[in-house]
Amino acid sequence: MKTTVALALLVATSSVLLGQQPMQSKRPAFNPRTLARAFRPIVDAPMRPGSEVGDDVVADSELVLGVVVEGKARAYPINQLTGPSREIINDKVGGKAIAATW
Amino acid sequence: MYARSVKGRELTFSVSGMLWNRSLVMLDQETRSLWSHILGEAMDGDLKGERLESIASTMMDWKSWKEAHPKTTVMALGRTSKEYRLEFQKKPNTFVLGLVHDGDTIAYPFDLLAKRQVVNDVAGRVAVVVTFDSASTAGQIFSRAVDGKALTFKAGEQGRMTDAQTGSVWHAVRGACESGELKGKQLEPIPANISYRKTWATFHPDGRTFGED
Repeated sequence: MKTTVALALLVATSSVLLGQQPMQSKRPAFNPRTLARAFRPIVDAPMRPGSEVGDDVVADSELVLGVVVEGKARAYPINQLTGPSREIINDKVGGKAIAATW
Repeated sequence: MYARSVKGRELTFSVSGMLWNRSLVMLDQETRSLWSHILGEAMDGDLKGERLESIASTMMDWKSWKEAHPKTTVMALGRTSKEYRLEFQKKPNTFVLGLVHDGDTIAYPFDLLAKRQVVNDVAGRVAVVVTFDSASTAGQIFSRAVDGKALTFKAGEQGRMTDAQTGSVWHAVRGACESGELKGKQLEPIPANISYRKTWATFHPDGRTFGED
């Protein structure tokens, strides 16, 4: 146990002395776990003028993720972005291809 | 919120069905590369090492958003939950506003922002201001540079802030100067991520948390 701690300290000190980026070393290794099959991408979600929608689409007190690109504003209600199938919306706003996600 | 073009090529993302440290892994249909959602970086596949450009976005209640942007469009895909309302962000210790900018990584806890409303900080060499509006629960980060000089802000009334240099009054969420010498000036927004505090800490172990230095 003591050896392990001493070794860890030595490695940590060496990386500082050698000027390595500690962020690279401390970031967790990429070892994802597969929990489900890949979902189909969402590419054609319907968008409507905000002035025309009612509470059935989004209510005043609901949270939205808002973005403005080239003067064009778009809102994504968080209550429509939950669940694994909905976490990424492929969209285009103000001519820019974006992935709406949070 | 990310741009989904990399090296001029438009990518289409889906949920991969994988999780990495409880965080979403995205899959692009064009190259089947795997991307970390929280880092915005390809971790495996042909595009490994590439990064997505972050785009500034804000989370707030729908009423505040449509008042600020009367011509906004809104997604109408149907609800998958009902819990994300104004009250949700009133449990502010759950979330941080995470910033990676100019080589610096900083987490701003929402509970601290809710108390302070306006925080002046420096990310790398860039003077930034972090704003929070309790009414709409919107958090936003801007560069403090205006015409090449860094301003210093303090919180004012009703979602406004004033700069110490000229006393001009700014809309804290929009970053727009509404009255005073600098009227008409717009602060440049800097993209930030709303993240669970624990998740942010896992993926940014060397970052600092504002107020805990």
